[in-house]
Amino acid sequence: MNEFEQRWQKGVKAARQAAASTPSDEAPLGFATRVVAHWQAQPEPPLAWLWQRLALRVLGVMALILISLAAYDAISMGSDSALQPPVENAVGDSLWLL
Amino acid sequence: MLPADLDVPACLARVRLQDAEAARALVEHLYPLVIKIARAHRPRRMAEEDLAQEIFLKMFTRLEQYQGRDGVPFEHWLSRLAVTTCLDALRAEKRRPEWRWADLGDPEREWLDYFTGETPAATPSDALGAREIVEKLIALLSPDDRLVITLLDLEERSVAEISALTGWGISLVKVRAFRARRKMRDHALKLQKESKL
Repeated sequence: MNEFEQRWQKGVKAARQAAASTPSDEAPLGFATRVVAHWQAQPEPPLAWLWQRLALRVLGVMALILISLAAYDAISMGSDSALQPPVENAVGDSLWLL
Repeated sequence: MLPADLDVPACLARVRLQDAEAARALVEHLYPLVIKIARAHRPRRMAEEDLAQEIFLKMFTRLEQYQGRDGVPFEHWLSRLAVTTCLDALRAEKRRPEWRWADLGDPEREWLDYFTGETPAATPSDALGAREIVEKLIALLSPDDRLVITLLDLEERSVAEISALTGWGISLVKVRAFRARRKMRDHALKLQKESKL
């Protein structure tokens, strides 16, 4: 820790002591009523916003399905014998060499 | 400290059904928690009550995002919402204050000299002066740096707690705190240079 940090920590410690007398934490009279009135006066979320949320969720699900299908495809391709050289070709090549 | 006589999950269930009485009870119950955060992290020109009101309105409109299934207490979720709301308010502040040497009182100057190493190691005794100069130096920082230093140094929160409150990684919090202190040192040196002009 450098010198500034050491001195800063001492300053901060003194500052914390000075902050001991903070104002009351009680909610002022009528505060809760005012907040709740504001909340209830807020308009319902527009249809476009709801549509956007739904579309995003559907998009997420579709992406998940796409990724799992791609993964399944990649795994099954690895064991697919159709892409490997047929056995008869290998046998034919060996006979030809003889 | 929060009063313990309110059944928060039951109250939340009623609030979700638009019960105004339950909503009022919830606001009164959570006010001490919210006002402490608003008071510590509000922009200079914003009243703490206005910021607290903004936090509560966000709480009501985003209530469906809180599920409570992961065992996260509602107070933790609300604290995080409050901190991000304060951070947004700080970011929206058009200008940061600019302090000059002439704006500082004698106790603040004494502390500034102490911070920069201009005076010998004897620590000044005026705690109020310390509070004022510390707040002034913190106010010069960017909103993110300011938040980290206030939480870490003034509120004595742990790095892990800050990480949980802000969503920043542990190393990011540490790096931000380190850089923020360096910036404050530079500001302090700059302010002090003015005294010699």
